[in-house]
Amino acid sequence: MRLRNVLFSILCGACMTLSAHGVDSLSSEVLADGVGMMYVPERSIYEIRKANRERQWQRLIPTHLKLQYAGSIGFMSLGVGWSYGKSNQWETDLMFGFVPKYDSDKNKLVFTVKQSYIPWIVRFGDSDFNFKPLACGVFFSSVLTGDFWISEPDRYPGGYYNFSTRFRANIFLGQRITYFHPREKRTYIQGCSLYYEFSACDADLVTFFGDKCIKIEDILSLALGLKVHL
Amino acid sequence: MSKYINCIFFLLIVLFFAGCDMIEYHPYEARVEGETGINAKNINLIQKRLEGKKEFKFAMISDTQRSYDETKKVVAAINARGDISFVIHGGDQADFGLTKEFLWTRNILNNLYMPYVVLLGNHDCLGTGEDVYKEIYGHANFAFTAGNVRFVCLNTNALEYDYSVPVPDFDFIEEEINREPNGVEKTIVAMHVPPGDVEFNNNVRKPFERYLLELRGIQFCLYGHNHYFDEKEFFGDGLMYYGCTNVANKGYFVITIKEDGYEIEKCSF
Repeated sequence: MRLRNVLFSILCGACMTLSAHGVDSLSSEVLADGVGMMYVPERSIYEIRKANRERQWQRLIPTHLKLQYAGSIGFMSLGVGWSYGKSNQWETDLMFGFVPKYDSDKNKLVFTVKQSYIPWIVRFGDSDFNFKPLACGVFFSSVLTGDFWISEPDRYPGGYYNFSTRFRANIFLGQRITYFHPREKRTYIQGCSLYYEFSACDADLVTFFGDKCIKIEDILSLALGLKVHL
Repeated sequence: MSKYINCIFFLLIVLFFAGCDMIEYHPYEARVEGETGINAKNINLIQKRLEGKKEFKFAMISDTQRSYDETKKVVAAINARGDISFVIHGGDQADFGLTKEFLWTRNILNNLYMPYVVLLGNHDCLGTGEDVYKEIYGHANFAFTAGNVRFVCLNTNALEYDYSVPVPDFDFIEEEINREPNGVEKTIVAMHVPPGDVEFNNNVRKPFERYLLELRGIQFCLYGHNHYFDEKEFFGDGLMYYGCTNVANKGYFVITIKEDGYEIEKCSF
């Protein structure tokens, strides 16, 4: 008896889902068609505002993922980001990197905010590849674990060290090569880019400008990365 | 436009191939490549070279942080003299405590013709600095015998540990006091931070002095930290403290140990 009830309710549920789906797809067809439109329920002011609000929130959905090796923000780091601007020339990333402890006593987790500017795109005829000869910008990293500080702990007299061990500001430049799937072949992603970048941090730049024997190649840090265009 | 793009392209390609040893996971990564355990190795060399001697000269440099040009010059100056048996670095080889700073300094100091030992400075403790120091050089408290002189090198950067670690380490000093003489007739103490400095654990500066006075034939103390030459008798008890300037001020000490005393010369380069 009970089993039959369960079966019945499952069947009912399935039918309702199917019919709802049918109606849904029909109405969206009608809306998309525009000509055969018989009846469109007028949206209330609330519904319009709700839709607008949702559209604003949707802009917060990341447009790409990044996986990076080295580059002073972790052995490997993983992040999400947003591309924007007329030709997507601006890019902002939030990344988390992992640094194994090596000769120190703790593993480290590093959080990075990165702002890139990619002024040019070089396209090769109608191939699916393009090349970005310059990507440059700044990134700010912060060690989330271990004995690091933003400003000196209270035990120090004021201005004792005058810098932060936790926080590093860096500048970088690099290049990228991008492959875009043809539109009809896309399944999960639009395409991906391979990039490399050279960066230098604030503390190393101070040393570089103060010492002749510290060469630019001594302070540059190389990063290799993959950007997945969602 | 395309000319500029080509230029940038060429430049970056060149940089890319030069970039193979530019891999850094973090400025404080503490990934030490190359020579480690330097103090222990060099202590062996010093002990062997000066065995049985009662007269010799050694040099002290200090606070080489962010002065790599001057550190190179002082290394060349000390090498050129030809009368120095070993060199003591008074600490603060790093300014920010970054791993690279230790490697740069080590690679410059390795050009010294004679063995050297390096003390721990307060700047060396920042971030992962102390771990890197320990990996490259060894313990922050160490001692060695040169001829008939015992050198006791102490970590005195108490403020860096917020007094959570015994700094200065009285147990270590006591071991040195109770040590069998083995031919040792005199003792010289080296430290980075002198008593009375805000970095020092001043609550114990008097007991510290008492312990030092118990060391066999204590001669004098050496320190760095202040970036100027100084000589003071901090406690009015006859024990002299000599402060070595930093290399940015182009100065270093040459200390001559004689059978009946010593001489301290302020040198410039």
